[in-house]
Amino acid sequence: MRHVAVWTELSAYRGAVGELSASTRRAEGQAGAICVVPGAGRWWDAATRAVDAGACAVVIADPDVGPAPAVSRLDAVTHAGVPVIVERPRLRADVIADAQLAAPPLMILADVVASAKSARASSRDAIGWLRALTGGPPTVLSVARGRHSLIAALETTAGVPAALSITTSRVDTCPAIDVIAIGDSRLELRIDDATGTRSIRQVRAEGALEPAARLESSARLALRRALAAVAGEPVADLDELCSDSSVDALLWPDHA
Amino acid sequence: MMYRVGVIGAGPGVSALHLPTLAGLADRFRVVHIADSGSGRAAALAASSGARASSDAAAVIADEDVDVVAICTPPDTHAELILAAVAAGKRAVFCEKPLATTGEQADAVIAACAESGVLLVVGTNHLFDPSWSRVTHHLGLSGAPTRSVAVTLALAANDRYHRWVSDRAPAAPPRRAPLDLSDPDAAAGVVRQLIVGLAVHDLPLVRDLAPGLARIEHARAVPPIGFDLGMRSGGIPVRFSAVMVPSGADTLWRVRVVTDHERVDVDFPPPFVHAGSARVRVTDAVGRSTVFPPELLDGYVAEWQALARLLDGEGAMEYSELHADARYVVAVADAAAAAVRGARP
Repeated sequence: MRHVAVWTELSAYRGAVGELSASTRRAEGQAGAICVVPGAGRWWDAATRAVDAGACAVVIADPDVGPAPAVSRLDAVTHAGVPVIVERPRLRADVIADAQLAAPPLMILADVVASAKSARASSRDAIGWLRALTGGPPTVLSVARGRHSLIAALETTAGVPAALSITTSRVDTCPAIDVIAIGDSRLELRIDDATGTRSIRQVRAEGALEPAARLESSARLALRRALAAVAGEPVADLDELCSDSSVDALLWPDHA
Repeated sequence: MMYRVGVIGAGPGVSALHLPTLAGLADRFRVVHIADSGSGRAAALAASSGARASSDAAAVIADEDVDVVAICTPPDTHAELILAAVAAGKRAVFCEKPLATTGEQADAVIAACAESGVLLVVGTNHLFDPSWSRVTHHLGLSGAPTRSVAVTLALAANDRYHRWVSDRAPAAPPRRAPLDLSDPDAAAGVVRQLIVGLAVHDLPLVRDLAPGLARIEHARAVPPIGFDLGMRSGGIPVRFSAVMVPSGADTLWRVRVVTDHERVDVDFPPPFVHAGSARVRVTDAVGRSTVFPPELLDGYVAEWQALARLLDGEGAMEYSELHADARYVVAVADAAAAAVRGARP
């Protein structure tokens, strides 16, 4: 079997290469490799450099929120035909798959608690959850901002009311996202970085169902998805990141 | 000491909630009179309670054997019945929520009760839930300011819970014309009614956490019946969202408080049931969670016990707090309704 080269300096991804040793190997350089770009700092520049260096795919690991013009420059990466996987530990593809709604909700609510430093990325991921659960990016109807929190009224593509609250804590709190989609079946989703929780409860009249925990590391999942993309599987991660970021930017105009 | 109760109203709140609750407090209260408004339900309820039955609220208020009038009628009748009970010289009134549907009504009933020394308890059971007392105690000790509040209600049909507390068939719900929430006036009416009649359970809690004037940031009706509010109370952002899902999952009734360094999730039991106090989880910044052990006592029993203590002469009757809570609820409801209509609140 062909071993796809993976270029990374992140220990989580080195471990993931070890866990995918039948299909991957460590690369010495970026050319021809899946290149893993750390999401801190100017990751958009690093991603572009990786494409320029001949990467066969790029993985962006847990990206910070970037300035809108810089993020839009990633179009160049997309247009280069190089698949881009975005590892979003609070918005994992496998957890999304477990959290699908049987029917559109009557209302969907998201509450985020995070430190000031992580609030932007967390709110962007909460927007991502609203999108992933309802099939399209929500529209922001109104935003009320305070010193430590904001409340937004939104609407899904199907016209379902959605609301989002974001509260920043005084201390360095790990991000926590709670999403509740209310319908005949109620979805209760809890993402908590402090405890590593990614829990889903599908509550129906007859009781609650909780899917088994996804125990694969976020890095390994991203790398597997990159392998699938290299093999031709379509991937929309970058479009979704840009979409979530552009909705999120409406919540934080002073920081855009 | 034993206190004699006359109940006005014979709906599910009486048959499935207050009469069984009072039966459990038989060492403090005895139901002596039940009145309906002509439905005939009072007779059957009275027979099993050993009480008299009538079909006129005035008969209960005029009954000299009645110490405590329990008002369990539609909200827009509460103020008038409280005033009548005060005029008749009753010792105490237990009023199902809400106390009043307008600010003027709230002013009038509180003034009348305070002037006459009539004791008054409003059936906002969450306020009496022992777990809520522990939450406010915890927050007071921590000294950490509140940063935001989020209230989430997903309500299953009440009759799902009647079967756990009553063997009587629930009365058929009143027939209502379909609601057209696309009509701003109709939507505003629904939102106001839901805030006055449903959010009234939790708005006193919100006022506890975020005292001060309430300003609506957004308000809308949510089909089939519900609302979504964003507001600031005393400057603190509050999300308050509720929707009824008759055929859906069990009720979720959650109040979340985020402070400087903690988040506190309070899950209240569904309506009607005696399932102990609310479940409380406090999570700190590094993810450590503390679960408060629930108590067997629930808010429905606790509110009647609170009235018994007042009747015994223990504790202070806080008319000003009741008044402020009622005024706060009406102010939020009016401002939300105005926002839904499209006018700036």
